[in-house]
Amino acid sequence: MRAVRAVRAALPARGAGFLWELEADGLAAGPDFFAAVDFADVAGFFAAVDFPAAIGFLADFAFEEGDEVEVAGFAFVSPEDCAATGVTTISAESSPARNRWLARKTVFGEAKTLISSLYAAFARTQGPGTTCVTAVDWDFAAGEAVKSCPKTHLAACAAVRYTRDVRTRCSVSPGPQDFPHPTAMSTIQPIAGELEPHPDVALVARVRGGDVSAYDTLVRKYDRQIFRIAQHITQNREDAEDVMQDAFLKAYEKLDQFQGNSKFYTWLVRIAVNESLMRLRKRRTGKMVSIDEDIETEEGSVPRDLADWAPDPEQNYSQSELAEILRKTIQGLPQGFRIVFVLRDVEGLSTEETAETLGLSIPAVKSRLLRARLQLRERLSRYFRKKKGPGESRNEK
Amino acid sequence: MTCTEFLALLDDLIDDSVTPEVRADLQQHLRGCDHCEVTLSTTRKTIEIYRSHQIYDLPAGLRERLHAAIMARCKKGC
Repeated sequence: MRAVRAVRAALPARGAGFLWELEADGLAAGPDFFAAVDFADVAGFFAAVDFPAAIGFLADFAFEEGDEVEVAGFAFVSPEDCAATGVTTISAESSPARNRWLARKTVFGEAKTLISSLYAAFARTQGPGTTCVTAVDWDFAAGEAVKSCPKTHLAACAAVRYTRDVRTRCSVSPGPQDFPHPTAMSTIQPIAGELEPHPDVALVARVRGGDVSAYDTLVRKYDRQIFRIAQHITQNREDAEDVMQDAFLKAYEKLDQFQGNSKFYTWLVRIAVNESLMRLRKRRTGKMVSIDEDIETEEGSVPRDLADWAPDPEQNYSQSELAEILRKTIQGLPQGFRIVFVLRDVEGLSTEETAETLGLSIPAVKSRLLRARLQLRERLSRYFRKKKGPGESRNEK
Repeated sequence: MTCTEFLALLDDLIDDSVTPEVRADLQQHLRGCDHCEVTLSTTRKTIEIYRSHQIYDLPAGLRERLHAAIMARCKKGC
């Protein structure tokens, strides 16, 4: 297989369009590019403009341990800049929480320097105010980028090649075909139409084209999740109803701003989380509400209750008793832990999506998730631990 | 491996994102440490219980009412 030797972007005036050119051994993107690369064992390829988008896309691929995937390429301003830094291919190893992939190292040791040079060159073309994040570690880069970068100024590119077995398991969402703005630049280059787009992409396109019934489908698909998330945050049924309505209406109004470099669902969740926090602020007039609330607790960081649980402990309670226990227990968690646990473990967002949704770094999400899980475990243990025999009851609460 | 080191990798183990080598180390620790074994199994159970018992259901009647309200506003252009 001929490797993808370099990836470069030609940048017209900012905001006027964003054109990526992919090169394989000097061939520009297009039919010649794809003809030149032997894709016999490669089922797909995509490019994304920034780290969060790249990470978001990678998460969509649902890689599994042992899959062979190559991640390569970074941002490039002009052939001269590429030539000046001598960049050819940069690959990195990465391991987000739920998707592992094995990437081949090429110039890993020098990558950070190279990327820094590329970013510096990029910054020059973008003018004052450009902020750049450079990192070799993808998780770190994604976290930092989300935290500190105006996304309009971010440019990076990930090119991913993966094996055919990966593709059969995955559903991947292509971005828009033309790129009105750099931040909207995320796309998949389908190989002979092999990639199936995520069904939401077609629905969103129909809504944008004026088909309201397509939005009806999207609302029905996600309303339960949005309602649950809103209720977990506001802890109030009426607020959750309002948040659900407002979130879907806001998403509808702002659909033109949805850029396709995250999943529609993740984007919708972000709106719902913000609406929920705003609702809480209104209710608690004068009191700040944030997802950082009350997290300075040491509770649960070290497991204390080490009694084993009964087998299927939930069977010892009626449905309503169990619901009450679970509700009371999760409501007792600090807000900043509860939201992370709900998004990540209950609603199934990836670590990267949770970080992006909440504006947290990936390490922060991981740390909160561990604390949340351990605190919940500790508190549920009171109800679910094995019943002690007579004479052993002195420690019962 | 100490219990603290085990705990630092607990989430990665639960989320199945450890290398085979690390997994082998974790399993070796588990064989000799009942406390960590209990912490692992009960944390897994905690996640499973919250996943399988949704505590905030959207009742059908309320769902239809909210749905109708949303769609009515959308059709009017919000």
